[in-house]
Amino acid sequence: MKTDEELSQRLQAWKVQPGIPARFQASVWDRIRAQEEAAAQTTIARLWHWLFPTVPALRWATAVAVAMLAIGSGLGGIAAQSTNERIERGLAQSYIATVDPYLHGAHAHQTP
Amino acid sequence: MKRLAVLLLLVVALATGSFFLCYRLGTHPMRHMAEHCDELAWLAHEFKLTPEQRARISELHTAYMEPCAERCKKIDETNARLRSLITAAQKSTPEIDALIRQSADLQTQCRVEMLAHIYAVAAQMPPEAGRAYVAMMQEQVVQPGSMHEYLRPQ
Repeated sequence: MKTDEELSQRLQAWKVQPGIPARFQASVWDRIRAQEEAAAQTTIARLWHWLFPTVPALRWATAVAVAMLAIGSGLGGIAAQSTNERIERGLAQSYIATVDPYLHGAHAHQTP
Repeated sequence: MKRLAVLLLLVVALATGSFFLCYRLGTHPMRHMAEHCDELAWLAHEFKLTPEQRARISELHTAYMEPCAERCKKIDETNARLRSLITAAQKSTPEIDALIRQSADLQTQCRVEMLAHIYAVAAQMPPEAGRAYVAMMQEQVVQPGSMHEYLRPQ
């Protein structure tokens, strides 16, 4: 009994002082970030694999992408050239109209 | 099927994106000039002028503009007067004849001063560009108010 009382007293007197390690919060956030990044990478990898399941599929996709880039930029260049010619004509008209008084009223500042 | 749709969407996005990127980049300098109504920037671009040449031509242009605006006003006044006289009269009158002569004199003065300005501008350009400039502008002296064949809207 005496032993039990002593034990009880000692247990009541026992105080736990929890200590938080240095950089505890930063370390928790690092781990959360690492897990999120790993999950994102896995999602991108899964999507990539779903889109291009085989190497030939990836090669085809690359070839098509290059062709589309070439077609898109080629058509963009042609359209830009046509627009530039139209704008140049307008600016030329505007310039001539500033010099020729007989064109002032009719065509001055007719830039597109 | 879903994969094919996604791939198709990506392909269309890629083509459209490259189209607009090339278009925007390709037209940027011209659009910039047009947005600012910068005829002299066009002239500098067209005749490959240096900044110094452009500055001198800009001075000439500014000096030419004031008397040019006055001539413009005179032309408008003469034309308006002539129109009203022609409308009011049933046959040619001495006043109409005098106004027609006055209009012709005004046009002659405009053409002479325009040609002087054209030569002054051309003199600031490199010789080859100057010749091309005179060739481009000569039609305005020969026939004021006319539009170049290549400048007409298509």
